[in-house]
Amino acid sequence: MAEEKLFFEDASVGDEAPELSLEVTRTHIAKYAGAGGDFNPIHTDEAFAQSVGLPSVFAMGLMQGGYLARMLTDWLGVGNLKRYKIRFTGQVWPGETITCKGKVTKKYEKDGANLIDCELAVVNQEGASKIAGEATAALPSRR
Amino acid sequence: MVNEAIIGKEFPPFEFLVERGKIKEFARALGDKNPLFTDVELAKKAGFKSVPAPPTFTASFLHHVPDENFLLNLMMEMEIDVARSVHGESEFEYIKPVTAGDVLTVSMTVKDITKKEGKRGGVMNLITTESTYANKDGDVVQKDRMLFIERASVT
Repeated sequence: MAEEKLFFEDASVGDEAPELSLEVTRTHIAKYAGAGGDFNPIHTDEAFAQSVGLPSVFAMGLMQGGYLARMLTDWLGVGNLKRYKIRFTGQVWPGETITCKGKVTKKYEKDGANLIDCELAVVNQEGASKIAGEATAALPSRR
Repeated sequence: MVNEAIIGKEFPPFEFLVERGKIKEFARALGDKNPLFTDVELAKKAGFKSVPAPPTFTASFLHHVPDENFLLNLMMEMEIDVARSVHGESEFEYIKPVTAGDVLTVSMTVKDITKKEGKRGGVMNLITTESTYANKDGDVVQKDRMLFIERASVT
């Protein structure tokens, strides 16, 4: 019950996910607010954000967390994730270009499941960390 | 400052209908063009009951129901100083797929509160909440944990 993208036999420790990059605009943030329901004005109301001393609005952590998850499902297939953990290490501001990255750190079998562990990151155009994360996925087998 | 007596507190559970249109909107907001999130027939061929939810979709539940200010009210009930607090981490544990049409019962508890020395002095509070999502058969399909960091007050 999952999308077949990457097979366990084809995954190796050190393999890297195809990267996903985008230049973040206020429109990305507004769309995520509507879909995700987070209407905290520090994310969507520029005048409010500046009134509390911020340079501008900034993205919700779960927005870049959502893009990182999209990179994962594009790479590993929908329905294969077992665990996804993200730590928000920096705010993402409009105009920044973020890149989502993933790498296989462990490949193993446990309780009959074919598992991989991955380390994950979201960084900006200067390499500054925005998210540090990890995931575990159960991959389908060719057998 | 967070009230530590609140560790173990269970908030009143609420129900959430996983709507197909909301899944499409969520996927589109993240630029995700995977047809599995919109095409029911394709999703069924891949073995899902209906279109599956993207991995972080359940995080939207806390904002849409039972109240737009649910999360804010929750923080206030825990006596967290909202102005000094940030969402530090999220963790999702996937047990069964969440798909359109599911009616999930969401139960949220305060899992833990720990203290940590802040980088600029003072003590930070680390508050972990856990949400459990159960379907109509009573099966737990997913668990989410969130960590809120309440920074030390600079006095």
